Amino acid sequence: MNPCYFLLAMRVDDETLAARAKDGDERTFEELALRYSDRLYAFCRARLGSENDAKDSTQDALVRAYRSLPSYDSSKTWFARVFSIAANRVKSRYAAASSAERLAVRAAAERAIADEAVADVSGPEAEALRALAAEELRSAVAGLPASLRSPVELYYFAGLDVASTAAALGLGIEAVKSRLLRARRRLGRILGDTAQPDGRKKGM
Amino acid sequence: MDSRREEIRKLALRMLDERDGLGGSSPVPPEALPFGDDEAGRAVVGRAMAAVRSMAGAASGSEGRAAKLRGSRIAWLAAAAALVAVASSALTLAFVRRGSPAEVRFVLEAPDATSVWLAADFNDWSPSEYELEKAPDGTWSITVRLRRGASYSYNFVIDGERWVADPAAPSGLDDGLGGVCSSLSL
Repeated sequence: MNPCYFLLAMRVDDETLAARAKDGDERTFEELALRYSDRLYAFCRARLGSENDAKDSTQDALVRAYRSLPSYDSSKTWFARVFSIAANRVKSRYAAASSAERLAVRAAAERAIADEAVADVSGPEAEALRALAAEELRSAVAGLPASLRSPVELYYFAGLDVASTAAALGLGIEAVKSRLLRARRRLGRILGDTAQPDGRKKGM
Repeated sequence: MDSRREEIRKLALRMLDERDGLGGSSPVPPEALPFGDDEAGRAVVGRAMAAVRSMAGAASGSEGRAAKLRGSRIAWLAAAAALVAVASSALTLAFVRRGSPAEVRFVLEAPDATSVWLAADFNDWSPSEYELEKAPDGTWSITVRLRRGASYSYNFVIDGERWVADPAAPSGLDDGLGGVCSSLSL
């Protein structure tokens, strides 16, 4: 038997772990935190733009998830709860910054991209380009209306599947698919792609 | 647009295509996320767990104090509830004037909910700090002391995971995440 399959079979589901953590098992909570910390961080990083703010918000969300364990109903999805908390932590932090500060951060990011566009990229070229492209994508997503931006951030930046995105936002799966498609078309236009599909993307 | 910028934008589009290519029912492996940073994720967990352990230690060392605080809070809530007992059931919010601070009663009709919490900018959007109490008629309520002359935003959190705006609030605001939070000015 492939050892990977064995490990998958041994994996305890989130909700069982959360129920144990609720009983005071800190190690179990740590395991749960590790399962989603990279996605939570990527989500916060995409929304806030700053690595430090993203780390603070991710940490904050995890601590709040721990603090809210007493009210956790283990029949509900754990990750949806954690992403819901993270989304609200990000919202709080985002709202705390003045619009002038946000504009300054965005302008700085755009300047950085422009500077890189005329300079030689030192270090591994592909990695540097990918980081710049991610920043470009982030900037494009920030220009979407909020109703489209949230599903995009969870689906493309946190890497959740459609069903998980829907659960985290408290929306239906069809509503999320529709918003993702509309957002995808808009992003195509923003980023200069003219060959966007009219129908649904394969597998979405 | 210079060719370098164009190249970056094409790559950004390719990132979307790569994700779409996996299909909507598959999550993206963390290492393939545009802003994926495994090291940062692990470091954050380390910091969060340090905070969690410190909270757990503090809690176990002060259970008696916490019990007293809880008792005091319940007594305060009972007093606050008495103060706002005259509030009309048709109104979600009722204000009781008492100098500069205002006692605000938040009410939500949710007979099927098992828990309702108040998350707001005045409690740093914590979904586990202000728990509403359920009345026999299926309404949930809590009274919170706020300051006059300020505006507040809030949501109700139903069953720990569903964030909803107050259906009877005077106004709502785009929460920047595809939802709406309610707004209140005192």
